[in-house]
Amino acid sequence: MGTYILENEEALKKVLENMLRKGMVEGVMVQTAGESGVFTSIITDPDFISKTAPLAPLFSNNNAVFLQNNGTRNIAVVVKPCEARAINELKKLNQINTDKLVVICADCQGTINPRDGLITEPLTEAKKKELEKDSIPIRKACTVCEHFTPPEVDISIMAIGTTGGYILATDREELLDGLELKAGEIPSGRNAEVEKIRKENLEKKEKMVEELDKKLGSPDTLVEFFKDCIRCDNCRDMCPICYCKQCYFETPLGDLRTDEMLHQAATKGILRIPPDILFYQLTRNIHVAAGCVECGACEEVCPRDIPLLDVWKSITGNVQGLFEYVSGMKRDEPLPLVGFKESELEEVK
Amino acid sequence: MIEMDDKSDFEPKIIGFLCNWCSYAGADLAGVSRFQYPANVRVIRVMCSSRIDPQFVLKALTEGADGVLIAGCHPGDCHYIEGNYRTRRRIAALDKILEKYGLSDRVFLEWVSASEGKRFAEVVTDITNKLKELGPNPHKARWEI
Ligand code: SF4
Ligand code: SF4
Ligand code: SF4
Ligand code: FES
Repeated sequence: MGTYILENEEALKKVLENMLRKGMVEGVMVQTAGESGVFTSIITDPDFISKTAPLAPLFSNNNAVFLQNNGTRNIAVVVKPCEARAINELKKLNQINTDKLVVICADCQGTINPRDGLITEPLTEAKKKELEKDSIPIRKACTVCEHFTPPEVDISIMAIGTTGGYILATDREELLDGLELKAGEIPSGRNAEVEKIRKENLEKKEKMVEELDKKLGSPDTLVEFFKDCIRCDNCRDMCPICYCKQCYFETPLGDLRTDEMLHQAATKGILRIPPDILFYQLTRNIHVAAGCVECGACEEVCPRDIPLLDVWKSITGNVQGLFEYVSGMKRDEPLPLVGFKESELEEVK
Repeated sequence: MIEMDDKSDFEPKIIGFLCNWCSYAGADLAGVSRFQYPANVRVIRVMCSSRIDPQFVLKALTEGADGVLIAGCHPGDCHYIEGNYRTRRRIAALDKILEKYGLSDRVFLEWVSASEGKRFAEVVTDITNKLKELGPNPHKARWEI
């Protein structure tokens, strides 16, 4: 693995530009400043690279959603760790061809939903204090994030533990051809610092789960929790792990027309419209829990402000933990619900 | 309108998904051997326990079934070699979720072979008693879910 020094974000832009100019990739997916805001874009003209903000701490959705069925042309993508994990998970689910991607991922110290504020420089502790003063919230998912460093990717950018600047690490040194980067080292104090942040976030997560457990825990409170859902299906559509090409809820069985609604109403004599709120939520739970990357995209897009992330935080670890699995950290390993061991889970039920 | 049953004379409604090769045959044997067991299970025959999509269980629970029984061949004996190992993982995952919502006690995974007619009767008796203790599924009387 090669490790190099990147003095600043500009140096990272040079890496992107170089890949594009040399034809290593046909495009770069990266955050870019436009006239009305900062948006994720795909750039084919290297002159646009100067407008990019690859490390801007913004997150409005998980862009792995848009990389599914990515086809045959090479692109480089600059993503957050939770997006990189979703890419890895989708690779194992045969929904993304990572051979056609150069995944570039940097340490993430939290993000902001652009609707709450447009910050382009990466977050530091000092910057976070400033935001707090201005009441610009860090996304809830980020305050309880356990995996905020790059998982298995093509190029990792490390910020935590460095004294200014970044360390770039890659096994694919050919991607740096033509650049003159100074060799660097992964800072010795990095691990300790990462673990410190992880511990803090984990404590917050545990509190969150505890609070939720007080609210949930019985079939009655379950109904209360999801009662405002209007089945807009945004949480499904914006979830990278809900990847089915035909969702059950789009099939004749799950997308009820009046005849079927009457049929279903007959069980209890009455049926709520839209139907199957709880069935939908529970279905998403079982379909996604083994792969959920806890990015919080579902909650960001829920028009009824249902605290969906709290649920994922509460079940994902338990489900993945059963199989000693953490979703999206690696590109090649058996998926928990595909593989099995002959002797395991003997205590189930 | 569905009235909530009084706990004392409450007869749970259990949806039983039984694999064709072992548990369904086991249930059949219980019948022909005239083992007594409660008539609370509505049996749905599936070719293998791995045919049981966790969604089936969720559908039953949200529609108001008091309990769900999933029964297949003992590990190692699945007619399709490894189906029940997969079932075991899926149901274990489902259980972790249902635990959070207080619904885990209503789902039962059991291995019953074709020769275990007596065991099938015992399993059904046992889960019927457990569900009687637990009371009706509150979703049975609820339409706004
Ligand atoms: S959830 Fe974690 S990885 Fe994702 S944006 Fe937030 S801090 Fe970064
Ligand atoms: S369920 Fe929500 S938190 Fe989990 S991967 Fe999907 S969008 Fe992200
Ligand atoms: S986004 Fe919110 S309202 Fe829409 S389906 Fe999901 S939980 Fe329901
Ligand atoms: S055939 Fe019985 S569990 Fe697979």
